Amino acid sequence: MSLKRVHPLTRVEGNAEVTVKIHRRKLQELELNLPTLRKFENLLCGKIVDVVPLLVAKICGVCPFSHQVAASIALEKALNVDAPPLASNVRRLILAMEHVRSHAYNVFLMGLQDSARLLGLNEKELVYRLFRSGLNIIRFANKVLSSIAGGSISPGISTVGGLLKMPDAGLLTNHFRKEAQRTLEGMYWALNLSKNLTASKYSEVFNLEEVPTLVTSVGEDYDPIANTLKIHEGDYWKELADIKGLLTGGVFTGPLARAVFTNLRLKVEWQTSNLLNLYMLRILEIMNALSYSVNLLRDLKDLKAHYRENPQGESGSGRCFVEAPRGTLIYECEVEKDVVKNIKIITPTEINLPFIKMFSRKIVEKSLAKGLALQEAIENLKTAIRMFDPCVSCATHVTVIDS
Amino acid sequence: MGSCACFGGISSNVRELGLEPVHSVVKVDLELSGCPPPENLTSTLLYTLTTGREFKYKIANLCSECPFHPCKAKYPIVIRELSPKERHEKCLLEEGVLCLGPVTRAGCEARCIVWGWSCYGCMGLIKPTSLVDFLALLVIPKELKHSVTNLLNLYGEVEYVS
Repeated sequence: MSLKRVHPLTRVEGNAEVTVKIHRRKLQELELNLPTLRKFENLLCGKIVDVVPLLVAKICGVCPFSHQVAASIALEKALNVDAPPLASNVRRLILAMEHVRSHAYNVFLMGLQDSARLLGLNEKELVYRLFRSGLNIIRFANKVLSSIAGGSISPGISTVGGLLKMPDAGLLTNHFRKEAQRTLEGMYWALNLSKNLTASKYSEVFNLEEVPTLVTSVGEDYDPIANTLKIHEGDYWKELADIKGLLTGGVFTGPLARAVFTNLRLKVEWQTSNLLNLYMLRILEIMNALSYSVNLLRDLKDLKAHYRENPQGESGSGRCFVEAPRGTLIYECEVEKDVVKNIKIITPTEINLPFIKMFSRKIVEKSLAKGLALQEAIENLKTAIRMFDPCVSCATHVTVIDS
Repeated sequence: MGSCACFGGISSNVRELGLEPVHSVVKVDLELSGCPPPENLTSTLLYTLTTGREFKYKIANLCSECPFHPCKAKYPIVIRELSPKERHEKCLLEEGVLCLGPVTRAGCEARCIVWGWSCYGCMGLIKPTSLVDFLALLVIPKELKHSVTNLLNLYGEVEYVS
């Protein structure tokens, strides 16, 4: 019996550990341990609604604004108020830049070692160029977020009813367009490089045998340019009355799910069922988000500066689905006299966890069946987990997964 | 680093986790609070550590960094709101909005106030007794008392009992 402990696996915040037991090249057991349980929901119960968007931004240092926007919209539904169109557009712009930054972290920093291995990139210069591209994108996104959201991580400006303050979009436009254009141009070569990933000798190992259940918040009025940024409140989700059901397996969310949806809508045929496509999809989403932001910023100049509405009610319940970089983020809340009575936060990684567990098993089994050395099988496993980018620090529930 | 590590922070609101600040478990040489710690302080800290210099916290309250400083509020202040309902052009306390700026340590450049939030004290108290002293200067209506207590305990440095 061979026992392998894979730790630490790079996560954005904290580490994960996988324990793999193999007997005569057959996988006996695989355990995925992701510590941390912060019980953020308990913390939010009893708080006045006005501070909730500020607090949820502290759940995650990578996607703070997705949480803030999702919480703001869910509370708006509960208190029967709609944010003015201008506020919704600024929120979309903030989310777009968050997508850009988060994907750049994953593709160019955390996943760089994996793509270099899979592509057989031995030239240090090329790897360094990819790394520099990532840093430049992150720096650019942080700069924009500092101008429109008050900082790269906090405090954010989205609140119940709209925005706390209107960022000066006029000042940003010229500078933004030039830099966004430069960043976009710099993305094409990385995109072309990422397309070669599916030609890797390990490609078959990363193939999904069955496309998992599609989860996306994208609604009927789907816009391919804004595909990562659609804020949709839930018609598509009405069938999924039991959110608990989402956490019990077979459900998949994130760039691949969004791409499957694009594929269905646009009737483009390409091999979606390979995890290695995630790199390419993230780069595509960066490019989409940048183009979308340039257009959005142009529109922002023409709107009247009404950015906040006062809530009509003080009690009620609301739900919101936002496409965060790693997938669909769900907020469900119940408010009584302006105080949060109940709140449920379902993060994308939490939805993906059962799938990650299932896929981790398959990847080790496939690698061993293919005759790869044990070390190679383990490297493939690490690559697969990093591809999902399971930053589970944000997860607020414990998901019990039977092996 | 961070308010949770320094004095409990927002995590201290979840009692069942039984979390404690790092200094109650191991000896800590230097603490950097904030939720999250401000970028300027973090880079200054890294610079001073790598160059072997001493890192010093600014001994001042947040009001010294506030864009609406100096505050013209007259004590005792009657608290009417727990958070800003609209954009303000003057001190929040002057308007009767709860703001912990006077008792909170400086360092964050009042980023929350600049962007339209109130200060809830994530940088930590300027001295342990300052919150109690500050409360003596406020008039809090009965209907807001529970929510004010809730907000004063948000970052958990000192447990305030109403």
